[in-house]
Amino acid sequence: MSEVSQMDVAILSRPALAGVKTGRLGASGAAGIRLEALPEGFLLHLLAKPGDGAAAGKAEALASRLGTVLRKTAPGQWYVAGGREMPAAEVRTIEAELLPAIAISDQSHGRVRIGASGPAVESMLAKLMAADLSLKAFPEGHGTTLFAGHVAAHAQRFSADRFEITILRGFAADLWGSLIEASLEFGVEATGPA
Amino acid sequence: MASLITCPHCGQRPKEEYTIKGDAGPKRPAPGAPEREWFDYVYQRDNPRGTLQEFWHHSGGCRRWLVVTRDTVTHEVFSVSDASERAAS
Ligand SMILES: [Zn+2]
Repeated sequence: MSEVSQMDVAILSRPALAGVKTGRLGASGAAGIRLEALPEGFLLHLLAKPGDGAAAGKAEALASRLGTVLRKTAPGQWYVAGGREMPAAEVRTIEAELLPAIAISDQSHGRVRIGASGPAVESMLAKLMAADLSLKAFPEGHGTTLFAGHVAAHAQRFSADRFEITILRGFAADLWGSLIEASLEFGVEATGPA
Repeated sequence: MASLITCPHCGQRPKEEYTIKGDAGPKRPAPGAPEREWFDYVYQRDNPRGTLQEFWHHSGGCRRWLVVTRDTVTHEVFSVSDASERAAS
């Protein structure tokens, strides 16, 4: 073992989106897009045991108990996410309640969320995502995993003009840059991490 | 190459979201099968002109394995289903 102790190395928490471009950018007038770096709170990946018909209901109950929505990522898989930090002990308690129907992978430090909203949000995201984002095909409450540019991301619709995009931490700054670029023609108000 | 594939879970997506594994036809031999059978299973492919069944992985989406039936000449896609629906053999 190395002699380096925690006394010698200060481990600092640094937001994935620290230092990205922010402010009022692009076309003037009323901003068509608002981008927000959302708080890096908790993000749990729920994975149902194949064939367990009760798992979806249990996942739904967990999401509502945590005061959030269930974000579908794949058959039998969801994210639940929120802005507060969740202690490891709480994650273990939740998992103990859900096993064996649902296993949990704590992705709180692995993925970050970006809020994208405004009257032009569908047109802006359509430049990066090759899925039908119209309200009819992608209604409020719908979520899906899809490419955002060249990287896999997750998009969840919260209202007609608001989405949240979940992305692997290491790709977050790159995606932020792409979102800014796609938003310039509409005018964008971008808020970085608190 | 078919450029739009409709995932049964995610809907219509571009081929860039998928990774193609290849011919879904060959059946895995028994562990003790003769080397000849294993060689054929691992290396021999028909490369047909016309209808072909392939494994596609929705790597940029739901990450499920799919079976895509398509025409190698016209690029028409006839069907896409989840690979788990194939009878285990
Ligand atoms: Zn899919």
